[in-house]
Amino acid sequence: MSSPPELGMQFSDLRQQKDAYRLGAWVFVASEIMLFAGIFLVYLIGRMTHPEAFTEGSHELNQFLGAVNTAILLTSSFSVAVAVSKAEDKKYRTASWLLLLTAVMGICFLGIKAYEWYEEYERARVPGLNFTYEGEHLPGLLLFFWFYFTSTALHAIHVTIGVLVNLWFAWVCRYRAHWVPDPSPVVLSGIYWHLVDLVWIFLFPFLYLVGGAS
Amino acid sequence: MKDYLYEDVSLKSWLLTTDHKRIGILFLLTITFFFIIGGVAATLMRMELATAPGDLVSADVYNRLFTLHGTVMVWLFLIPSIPATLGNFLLPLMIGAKDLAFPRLNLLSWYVFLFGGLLTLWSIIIGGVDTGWTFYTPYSTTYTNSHVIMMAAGIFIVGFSSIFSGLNFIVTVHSLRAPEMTWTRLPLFVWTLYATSLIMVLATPILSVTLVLIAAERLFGVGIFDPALGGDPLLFQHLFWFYSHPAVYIMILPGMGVISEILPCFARRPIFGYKFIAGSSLAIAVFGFLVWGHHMFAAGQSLYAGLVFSFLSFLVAVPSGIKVFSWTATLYKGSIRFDTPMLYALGFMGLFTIGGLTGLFLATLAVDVHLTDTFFVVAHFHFIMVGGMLMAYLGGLHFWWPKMTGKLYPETLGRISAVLIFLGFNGTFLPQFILGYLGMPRRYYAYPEQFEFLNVISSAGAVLLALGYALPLAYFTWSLIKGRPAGADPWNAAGLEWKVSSPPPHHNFETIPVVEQPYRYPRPGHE
Repeated sequence: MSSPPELGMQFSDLRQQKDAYRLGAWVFVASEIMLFAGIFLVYLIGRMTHPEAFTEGSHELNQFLGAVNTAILLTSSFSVAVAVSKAEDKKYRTASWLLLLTAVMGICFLGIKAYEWYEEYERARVPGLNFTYEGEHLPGLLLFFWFYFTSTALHAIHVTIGVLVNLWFAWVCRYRAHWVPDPSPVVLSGIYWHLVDLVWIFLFPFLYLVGGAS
Repeated sequence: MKDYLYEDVSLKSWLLTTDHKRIGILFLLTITFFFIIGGVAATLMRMELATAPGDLVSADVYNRLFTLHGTVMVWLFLIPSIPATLGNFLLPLMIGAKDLAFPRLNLLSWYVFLFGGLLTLWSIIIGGVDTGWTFYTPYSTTYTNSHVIMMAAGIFIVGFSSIFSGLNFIVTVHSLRAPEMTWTRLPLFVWTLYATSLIMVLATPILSVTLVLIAAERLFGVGIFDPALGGDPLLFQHLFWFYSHPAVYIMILPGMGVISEILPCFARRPIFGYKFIAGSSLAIAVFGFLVWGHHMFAAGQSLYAGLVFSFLSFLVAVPSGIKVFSWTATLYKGSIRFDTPMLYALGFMGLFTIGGLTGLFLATLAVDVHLTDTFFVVAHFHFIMVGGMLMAYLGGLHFWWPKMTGKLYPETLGRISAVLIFLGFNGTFLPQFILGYLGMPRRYYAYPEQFEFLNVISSAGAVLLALGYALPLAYFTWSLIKGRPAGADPWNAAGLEWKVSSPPPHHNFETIPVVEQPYRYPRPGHE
C-alpha cells in the first residue's frame, strides 16, 4: 500500500489529515480570540472609568482613514473567501490571483495604518515616545492612546503575518500547485485572514466611533 | 527493528527530532533541571525559617528566593510537568496513534519553552525579582526596582509553549484515535489531558495580555493598574487569577489522570465510575474558569462578588469529590499490590483530599478573612501542588519508567522514596496549617519566637523530603545503565501503551492496534 507524498506519517488518510488541520486552525483562532478578549476587557474598564477622555481620544483619530481601512479589510475577506472556494475546485490559477489581491489589500491597510500612526506621532500622542498633553483628561487620554497603539500594533502584526502567508500561497498556487493537491493549507490561511478581519471589526468602533461623529 | 532511543543516537537527531517520545524525554530533562533550581530556593527558605530571627539571608534576598521558587516551580515545572513529559510520551501510544497531530509544532513547543525558561533564569541571575510569583500591582509596576520586565517576558514566551501543546493534544485526541478507540474507551489519563489542554488554550492568552500590561505600565507609565492615574490595581488581580486559577487545574488534572491509570492496575479492578471521572474532568475545566474571585475575598472586591465566588468555589469541589470517591470504590475488594507507583498513588489520595478540603475552609468568606496571606494558604496549595501533583508525577514516572526506558528501577528503593516523600511532606506542611491558623503570615523572613517550634519541625520535614527527591534521581539514573530489562508489560497492565515493546519502536505501532474496553482487570488469560 503506497500513500500519497503529502500525507504525514501520523495520519492514516488525507481526510483525517485535513480534519486535523482544520480543527487545529479553529483551536488556534479560539486561543487568539481569548488574547484579544483580554485586551478588550481592559478597554472596557478604561472606558467606564474615563468616558470623557475616551470620547476625546476617539475624536482625535482620523475617522475617514479608519473607515477606508475597514472597507479595504472587509473586501479582502471577500477575496480570500473566493480564493478558498476556487482552490477547493482545483482552480489554482484564479486562486493565486485572488490571494495576491488579498495580500495587496492587506499591504494597503498597513500603509494607511502607518500613515495614521505618523499623524498621531506628529500630534505628540505616542505614549513612551513623545506623549504630551496639557488638557484635563490626562490619565484617561494617555490610557486611550496606549490602548490604541497596543491594539492596533498587535493587530498590524497579525495583518503582516497574514499578508506573508497569503503571498506564500499565491506563489505556491501559481507555480507549485502540486504541493497543494489538498487545498487545506489555503483554507487555513483563509480562516486566519478572517480572524484578522474580525478583530478589526471590533477595533474600529471601539477606537474610532465611540465618540460619535467628529 | 530499533527502538526510539537507539534508532539514531546522534545529538542532531535529538535536537531535530519530531518523535513525541523523544520530545517527552527532552521536556523531562529540562523540567528536572528547573525543579532542582526551584528546590534549592525552597531549601534556602526553609533554612532561613528554621530560626525565628532573620539571620541566614537578608529580607531582600528572602523576597527574591520565594519569587524564584514560585515562578520556577509553577511555570517551569508544574505546568509542563505531566502534560509535556508523560502526556507527550503516552498520549499517541494510548490512543493507538503514530505521533501527535503536529509533530513539528511539538518540537517548537520545547524550544520555545527552553528559550522562555532560560530568559526567566537570566532575570534571576542578573538580580532576581522580589514581587512574588503573582506580580501584584502596584508594587510590581510602580515600586520595585527588580527585573520584572525580563521575568515577565520569559513567562510570556513560556506561555506559547503551553498553548502549542494544548492545541496539539486537542487535535490529536479528536482526529488520531485508532478506529476502535471510541470516546468512552479513552484512558482517563487522555480525558484529563484533553480537559487540561482546553484550559491551556483558552486561559494562557489572558496571562500573556496581563504580563504585557505590567511591562507597559513600567515602561510607558500607563496607569491601567495605578490608582494615582485613575487605574485599578484590583483589575490586575482579576486578570491574573482569571488565568492562574484555571492554571491550578492545569497543574492538578493530569495528576488525577495518572492516578486513574495506576489505581486499577495495582488493585486489579476496573476503574469505578469511568464516565463520572471523565465527565468530572471536563466539569473541573469549565468550573475552573468561574472561581478566580476567591483569591480576592480580602482584596476589596464587593461582598456580592465574594458570595458568588464563594458559592462557585464550593461547587468546583464536587467533581473532585466524585473522583476521590470513585478511586476509593476502585480499591474496594481489590487485590492490592503495594508497588512503588501504587504507594505514590495512595499518598496522592490522602494528601489531595486534605488539600482539597482545606480549600473549602478558604472558600468560606469569614474563615478566609482570618487565613488570608497566612501559612495556612501556603500549606493548602502545597498539599495540592506537591502532595497532589508531584506525587502523581512521580507515581506516573515510576509506573511508565520501564516503558520509557526499557529498564526496571530497584523496587525497594522506590518504595523507600515513596514513604520518605510522604512522611517528609507531612512533616513539612502539616505544621504550616497550624502556624497559619495561629497567625503567622507568609512571605516574612523573620517571625516571633512562639512560632519557632513548629517551624523547626517543618524544616526538619523538608530535609526528609529533599532526601526523598534525591533518591529517585539517583536510582533512575542508575537503572539506565544497570537496570534489568523491563519487557513490554512489567505490571501486567491494560492499555495500548503496554502492547508495544519497551522502549517503544520509532513509529509506535506497525499495524493498527486492536482496542478493547478500558481497564479490563483482572487481565483475561493472564491471572
